[in-house]
Amino acid sequence: MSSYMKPANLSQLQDCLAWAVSSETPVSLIGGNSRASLGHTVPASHTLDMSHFSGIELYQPEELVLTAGAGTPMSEIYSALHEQGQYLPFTPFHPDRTLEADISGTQAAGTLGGMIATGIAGARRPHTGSVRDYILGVEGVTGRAAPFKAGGRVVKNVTGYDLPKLMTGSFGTLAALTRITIKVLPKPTLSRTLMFAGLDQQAGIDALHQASLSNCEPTGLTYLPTDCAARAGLEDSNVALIRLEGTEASVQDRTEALIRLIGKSCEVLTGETEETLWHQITSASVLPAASQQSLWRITLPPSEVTDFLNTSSLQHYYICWGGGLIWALAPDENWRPQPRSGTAMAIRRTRDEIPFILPPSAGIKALAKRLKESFDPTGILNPGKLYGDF
Amino acid sequence: MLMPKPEKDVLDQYPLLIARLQESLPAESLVLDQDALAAFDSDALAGYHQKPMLVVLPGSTEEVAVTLKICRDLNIKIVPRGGGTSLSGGALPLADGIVLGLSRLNKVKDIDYANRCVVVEPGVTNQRITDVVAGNGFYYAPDPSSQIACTIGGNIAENSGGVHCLKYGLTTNNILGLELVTIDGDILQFGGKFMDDTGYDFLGLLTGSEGLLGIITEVTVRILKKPEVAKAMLVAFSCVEDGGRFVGDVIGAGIIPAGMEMMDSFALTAVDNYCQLGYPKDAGAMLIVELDGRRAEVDDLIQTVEAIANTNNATNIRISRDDQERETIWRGRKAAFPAVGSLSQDYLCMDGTIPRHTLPDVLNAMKEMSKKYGLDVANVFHAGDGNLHPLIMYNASIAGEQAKAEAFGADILKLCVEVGGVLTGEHGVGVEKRDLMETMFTDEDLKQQQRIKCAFDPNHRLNPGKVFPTLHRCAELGHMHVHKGSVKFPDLPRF
Ligand SMILES: Cc1cc2nc3c(=O)[nH]c(=O)nc-3n(C[C@H](O)[C@H](O)[C@H](O)COP(=O)(O)OP(=O)(O)OC[C@H]3O[C@@H](n4cnc5c(N)ncnc54)[C@H](O)[C@@H]3O)c2cc1C
Repeated sequence: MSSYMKPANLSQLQDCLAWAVSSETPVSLIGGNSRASLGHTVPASHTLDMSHFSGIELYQPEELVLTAGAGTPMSEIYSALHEQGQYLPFTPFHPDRTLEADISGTQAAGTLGGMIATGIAGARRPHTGSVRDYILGVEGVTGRAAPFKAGGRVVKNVTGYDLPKLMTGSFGTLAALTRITIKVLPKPTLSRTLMFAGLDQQAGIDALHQASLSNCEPTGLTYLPTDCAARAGLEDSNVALIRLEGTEASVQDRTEALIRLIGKSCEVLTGETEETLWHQITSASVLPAASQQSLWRITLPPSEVTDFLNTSSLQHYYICWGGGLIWALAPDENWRPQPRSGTAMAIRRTRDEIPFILPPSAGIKALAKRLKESFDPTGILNPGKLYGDF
Repeated sequence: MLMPKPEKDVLDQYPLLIARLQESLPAESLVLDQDALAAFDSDALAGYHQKPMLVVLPGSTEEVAVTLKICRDLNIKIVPRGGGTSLSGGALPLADGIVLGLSRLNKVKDIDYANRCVVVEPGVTNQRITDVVAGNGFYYAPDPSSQIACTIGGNIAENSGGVHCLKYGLTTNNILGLELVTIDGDILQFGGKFMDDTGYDFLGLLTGSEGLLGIITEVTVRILKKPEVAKAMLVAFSCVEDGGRFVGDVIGAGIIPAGMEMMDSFALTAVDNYCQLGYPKDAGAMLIVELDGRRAEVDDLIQTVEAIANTNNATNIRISRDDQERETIWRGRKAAFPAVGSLSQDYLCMDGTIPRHTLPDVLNAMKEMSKKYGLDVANVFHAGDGNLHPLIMYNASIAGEQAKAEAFGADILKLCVEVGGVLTGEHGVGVEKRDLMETMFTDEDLKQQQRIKCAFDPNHRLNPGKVFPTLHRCAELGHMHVHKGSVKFPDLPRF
């Protein structure tokens, strides 16, 4: 038997979960279903659709806060922010690529809850912080069918454990969230990307490195090998891309400083071309779309990027975060990234035996399991989705 | 505030505890002398003292682990301690527990500019991290006013902020990795020199956990390049309303200053009398706004902020021309606590956060409370993020006045929650706000938090008596109250 539950309110949601608990039936949580492909397959024939918990309930631009139902479409969030000249600085990952065609986000797929539950940040991460750095409060129902809340709607808050952060990136394995409060920021008035073409890989990485050690505050530091650059519609050569954002006077000043620092000539990208490019970088669509290869997102210490690439024999990959993030297609079906330190997530997996995330140490895994059990002792919420076995 | 009653069987373990510790640890890692123990009997929360059974000052992570294993075997409680500057009583000892002081673990282990991070032991002070990288033009951003004395381990435990956290974030936003010794003495490494570890966000959970989940023995922090220039602006207004509107307008204009601090008239008069900085004493509110970055940007933004100040009827504007003038402007803010201290025998420093637009109402209500309690209150305020620090003045040697000050403080914090804010912005719950947790959370919210505690420390031996108003046994918390058959089946669309 399978069922599809779409609770209309908190008490119905509680009923659904109480039923799941008492019948020991796992459920698979969905929001907008745009990120359903992420994570291990959940062995559940019952679906819990959270999309009724929808709508922006509070948005105070001068307070930099927004509270909305977890099922609120991201398109609605983007529109509201866009209207006030604000944005989500961490630019969440959108596997659906809608943002590339529609940079104001009004067509974006997915829900706020899905974005938070996956917690994957885009190109600005080293400068502005990640998804978890912008979540302020959550409400929801745990796997004990009990309603709970944590955090608040102010930026500074240390009252109780920081469960909003714990929820971020937990892939719906701890609680079904109904309401989420996030911090937002004013969008910089001007953006400009410096494109240094024709640098070989080491020179490209060095350029990113120099920029990241400067006081020019770059908000994007990416290196695209030739094939990726071509797919993004740029030059037919390797490119190092450095984005600067801020007021006009500031961006102008930093552009000059960076060009002096790197000592090479560059092209300047602006407007829609520029914005589309960074959406392509965030959604990994500069890589071949071939689905017969797993797609990995690897985070590592920036200084180890060259070593990692030299020992990994990759064909298709590109570098973000000034070396701290590599997107790569697996060269063969058994390949798994092995960064010396760091971690990785298989955003697209060709076989279920491929771990979704590189396994943590045994001690951390045991602790994660106890944490999961503290919220969801019978394992009804997205069991296995994140860690594979619980 | 009452602490849990000391357990007799734990106290009875004292001789055995000493024997086991002496067998496993070098003499310099133990403090047993009663007089020496007095130095550890309180932190910076006024009015609370308790001598611990003994103090262990481990010299390595391994010694931390050994100590925890011995405590586990003998069922001894543990209170972690860094610099002892907690304002919420987080490091207040227990009569039937040891204090585990991390101050000797004070090595800077690795300075890694290529990865823009520093690896330190927990007893390294906040200021020292900046000091060791300043020569190369870097700094560690979170800057609590206590930074010369507080440790990074304590900062992690409290998720400390500072005047620059509006732009640069709190501790939790500036760390990459942690080493934790669990209550069983196991050593775990979370994160490292990279960003965004996968799996549950343990860094987020541990930061701000007030020493209740484990002992932090190593921290990897991010460092930032020092901005080319920083300029401070002093802006006075005749009333708090104008000041509040100014703050909203600055942020509304898309500007996130490095810091934005407000003082009410009481605080600024106290400060000016204390250090004669020529502050506009007749002002109803005074703000310090700091802008940092590259020179071109700062010059540009200063003009915009100045215009916004004028639109909001600023009565006085001063802009620093060099670092010395900037420091003069800041000196008063930094001296706010001692300035208030010079006016009053004792003071309590509160720490609620409110949605910024409620500021005038909250300050007015506070004035009323001040009359009701007959105690003065001065306000310094992290205006950008709504974090209030009311300083309640009292005299502890007058019978009943400490209790009165605490009741006044509790009323302020309840008001913060009522207007949509929270009990604590950066100082932590500790002992001080423990019994107010129920004004913000339901019983179930608190039980869920305690279940997390149980996942780390099933016998409540790490820092008990802090954060949670009622301690539930873990076995009891584990029970599920959903029973087969007794739940109605959901009446929902299914297909
Ligand atoms: C004058 C003054 C000004 C202050 N200004 C600010 C400010 O601007 N911003 C701000 O946020 N705070 C401020 N504080 C509060 C305080 O300094 C911070 O909370 C600080 O982080 C405490 O650090 P500590 O090393 O002194 O920790 P302690 O006071 O020793 O301990 C604090 C808590 O951390 C736990 N702990 C300590 N070390 C560890 C460890 N290694 N592992 C696990 N748990 C541990 C303790 O058990 C306790 O619960 C101020 C305090 C004073 C006295």
